[in-house]
Amino acid sequence: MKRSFVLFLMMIVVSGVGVAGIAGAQTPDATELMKTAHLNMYYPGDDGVAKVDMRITDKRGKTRTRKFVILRKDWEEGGEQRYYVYFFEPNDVRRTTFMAWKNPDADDSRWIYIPALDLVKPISANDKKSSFVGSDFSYEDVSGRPWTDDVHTFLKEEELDGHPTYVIESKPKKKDYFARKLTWIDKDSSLILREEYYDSKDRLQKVFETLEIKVIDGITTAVKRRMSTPKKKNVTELSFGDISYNVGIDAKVFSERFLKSPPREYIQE
Amino acid sequence: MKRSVWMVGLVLVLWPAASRAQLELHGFVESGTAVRLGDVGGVPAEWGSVPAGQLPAVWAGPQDFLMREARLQLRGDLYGDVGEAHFVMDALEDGLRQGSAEMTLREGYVKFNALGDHLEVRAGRQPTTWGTGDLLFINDLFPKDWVSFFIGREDQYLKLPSDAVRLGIYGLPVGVDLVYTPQFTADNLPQGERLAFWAPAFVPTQLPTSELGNGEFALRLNRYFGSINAAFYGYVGFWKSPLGMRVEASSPVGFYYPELRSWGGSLRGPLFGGVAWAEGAYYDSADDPDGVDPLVPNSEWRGMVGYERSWWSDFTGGMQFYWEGMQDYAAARSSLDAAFGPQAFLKDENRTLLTVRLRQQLLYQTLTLGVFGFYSPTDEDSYVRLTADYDYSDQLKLTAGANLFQGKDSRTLFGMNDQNDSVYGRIRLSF
Repeated sequence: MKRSFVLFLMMIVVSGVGVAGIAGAQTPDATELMKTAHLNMYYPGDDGVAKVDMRITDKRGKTRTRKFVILRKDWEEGGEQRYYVYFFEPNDVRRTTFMAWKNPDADDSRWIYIPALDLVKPISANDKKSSFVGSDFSYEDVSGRPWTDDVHTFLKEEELDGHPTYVIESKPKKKDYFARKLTWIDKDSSLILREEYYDSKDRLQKVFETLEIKVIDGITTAVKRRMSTPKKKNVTELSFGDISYNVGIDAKVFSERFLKSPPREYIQE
Repeated sequence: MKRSVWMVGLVLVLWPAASRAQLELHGFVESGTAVRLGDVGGVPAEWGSVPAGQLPAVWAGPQDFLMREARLQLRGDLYGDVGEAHFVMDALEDGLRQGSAEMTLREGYVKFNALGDHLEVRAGRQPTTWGTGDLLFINDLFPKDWVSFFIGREDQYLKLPSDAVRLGIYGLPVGVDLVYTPQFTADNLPQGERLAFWAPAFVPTQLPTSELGNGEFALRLNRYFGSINAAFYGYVGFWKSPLGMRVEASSPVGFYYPELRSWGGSLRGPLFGGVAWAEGAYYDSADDPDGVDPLVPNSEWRGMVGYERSWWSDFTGGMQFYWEGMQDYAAARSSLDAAFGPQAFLKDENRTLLTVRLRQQLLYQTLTLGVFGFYSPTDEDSYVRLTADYDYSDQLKLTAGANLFQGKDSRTLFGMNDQNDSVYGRIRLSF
């Protein structure tokens, strides 16, 4: 901030353009920034495979762990995409699979397969804020809330943990589970570094943080993410490992057949 | 059963030699207890006097437990280059069957793909499930263990595995599943070991003989239209419960499983933010096409519709309406009257059933409270299942529940279980 002030002064002094220079400085397009960040966070490459280690810590410090492989394929950049999840842990859900067809314009479709019963069960998907496998992440947090659901306003530029960021305020177009959200977008990587969700009484509900960024197959990726619910003192950390992009996952993998018969080529513990 | 243990051992030994394979071993240890609420009462009046030595356990003496057992389940999954092998062994120390630890092979099958991935073969002991209902089954004629279900064992024990060959054919406009079970596998129904029951007579039940023609064929054709699944089903085999009666000199001498053919269809897909389903079938009672044989069940139509959705966070609620209608009720009634008199029990021409499921998850989904209720307006009976599951940790799970039956007539499905109300608890450690 200080540096930009000095630059600003220099601009006035050196160029002599003065006031005209200020008028020319454009406010960044908040919607465009959010769109880019959303695509970077949730649509990297055309498809992706990753091993996820999920750690849920409650207020007493007790930890639960979920380990799974997640497959994703984009049908349309920023639009429809499909997810496939195979669980390794906890042991009582080992081999359980989950599939979601995400449709930003309508309800998602979700299925779960319980191998001990050989049961394929579609699960209702109208509730996007339901917790994903008992974590602080909701279904929507895992696959990303479409930027088109909110109205975005550019607030300011700010440095966050050494990263220059844009800060954007978003308000849902339709009444939703939060009243407003603040997002910090990294200027360098265009990844979301932090999000704060506030309720209608402006109390902080949830905080999302990107804890680690790595470049994988040329794609800058948030490999460690955290969601906290301050009111309940509950925290969930997600670590993505063995990530690969553009592996050419066959579209038919996202079907009932493979829900019942997991594709072994992607599922190695 | 011993043979199957050897088979698993053999697979374990030979598999790694045949290919580079990866073996994963997991399982759980579980202890469960169910306690009867109330008294069993006497044997059904129709049975007359049963010799003391033949009385089923629930009537032979005081029996307050429906379940008192410890179980070790071991599951192994082998993944090789050419295919997979899966097995599940249960070692059960059953307090109600004194002195005998039972080893059961719950799963033991090999799976591989052929014909350029267009064919998937699963051969061996395995569970199979299809159809759309929630604890209601119309086109799913794979074996069920209703005893386990009624005494409070975990849900997976409702499904009995069958020794079968299952083919999945893909790449056609419809997905084809074909399951051939060489030896008919019946449902496990209450027989007085843990649960009181009603039957028109106290006579033994006979399974179909082990002839090649006495197997079961089950077929499913299905296709997704977007997220909507449409399916057609066919089945050739036997009624899953012993609804046929053998008579000598006009008195019953045994029950058996009459032949059954069925065909039906189902639709399931998203609706108003939830999931809706509809399923129907025609049960062709092949031993009695005109419905005039009083010793064989009538042909029937069965159908159901259901809907489930999430009403608020971590809460789902669902409802189903089910109907079964006899094809030749008048013929069945009059032939029964002629053979056994007007007191002889025949189910209603139309039997309807309503079910409700409510489920709330709490404390970051570590606590699940559930109610599942069946109510039949025609049979005037009901069955309520209450469950509370608590995940103390990723490994340790505690379950408590109750199975509560009510009925006006001790001969209807839930009415005959009226004396089987129980509460149960289970503790499980997974590894």
